[in-house]
Amino acid sequence: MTAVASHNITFLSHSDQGGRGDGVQVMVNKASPISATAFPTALP
Amino acid sequence: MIDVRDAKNPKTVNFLPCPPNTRAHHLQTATHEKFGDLLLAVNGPSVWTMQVSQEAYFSGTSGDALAGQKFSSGLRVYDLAKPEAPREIAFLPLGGLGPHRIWYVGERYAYVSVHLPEFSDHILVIVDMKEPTKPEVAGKFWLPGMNKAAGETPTWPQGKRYALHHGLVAGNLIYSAWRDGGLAIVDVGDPAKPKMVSYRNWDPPFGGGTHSPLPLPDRDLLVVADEANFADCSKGLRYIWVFDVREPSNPVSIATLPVPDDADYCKKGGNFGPHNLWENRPGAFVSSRYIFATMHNAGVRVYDIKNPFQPREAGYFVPPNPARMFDPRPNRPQVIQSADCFVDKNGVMYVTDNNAGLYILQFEGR
Repeated sequence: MTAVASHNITFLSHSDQGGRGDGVQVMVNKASPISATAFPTALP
Repeated sequence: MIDVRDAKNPKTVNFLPCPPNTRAHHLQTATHEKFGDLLLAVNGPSVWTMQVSQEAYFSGTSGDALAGQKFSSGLRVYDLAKPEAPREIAFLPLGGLGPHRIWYVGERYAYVSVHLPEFSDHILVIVDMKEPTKPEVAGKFWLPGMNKAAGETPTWPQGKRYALHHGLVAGNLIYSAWRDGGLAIVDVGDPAKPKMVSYRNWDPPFGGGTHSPLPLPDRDLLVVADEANFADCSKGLRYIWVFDVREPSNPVSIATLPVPDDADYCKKGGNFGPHNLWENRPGAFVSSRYIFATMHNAGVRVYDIKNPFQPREAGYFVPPNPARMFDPRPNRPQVIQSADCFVDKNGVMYVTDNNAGLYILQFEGR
């Protein structure tokens, strides 16, 4: 992954959130981040 | 739920669906002293799924924009004993459009922006979390003119949206952002009787959309972001403000953070300007010097306010545009719209986007 522009921040990784990439907010609880998300149309 | 024990190799492990037409667009995780780790999540209208126009949502009252729609409205509480499999332990129905944002760090009370049916838009609702399986409303606060059931009428111009977006608590004070209604500092020492300490609104001449507060109590400073909730700079620029709050009854704006100028973001497409601030949550990266802000199509930015009168940019990362679109609304530009940033104690940044998933980054600027 190449950033369009960056300074003093480096890329570690990216997740497509299991094919639900519509994230609004993210929390990290100890080891696991939980991203608030989801359109009902994206439900399994 | 995404396992990031190895930040260079995140793994999606689970997904919690919402009821139809409902979105859990804000949540909080915190450790309750008796019950351990909890997840609090809002349930409110999925305005994108329901094709509510951005213009209609951010102008006037959201209740009007969503009249007749059906969705779940309330606050859900989950036990996070197994973080990969949250277990729902409570649902607090709230009616109306329900909750929008929460501030909860594991103490007695959660501070929630909620639209209740008797009010014109979102107000402050203080929720007692003493018994997480039975959350209860402990108090309310609203701006004059919002309580329709009590016969109040709007004190603001038509087309403006006076609604609590989000509030953060430091000590006995909640620093609350009321969209076009500006900033209110409110004493919540008695949750049943919140009291206004001070109020500021810089709209007009600046454009409103007051969105994200960040109190820095060790320096008696407050940072406040106005949301750029429109595309192509069509309503001008929105700013992130630095206030001196040594005297909470008289907050004074002393600076704004630099506007990104490494590209012509007004011509890039999509929204340009502030969205969320990193909120210095306990146990994570806590700093009263470095301010992390998501800036929609300008990615995520870090600002150094060592000198609060002369803030400077200390870092930025602009991800590439999303490979695909999840936003179901028609004619949305396929550009990055960085939305939120969580920063852990090591400066690892977790950055979301409306369409591009989760970026995990490392801040190197300290």
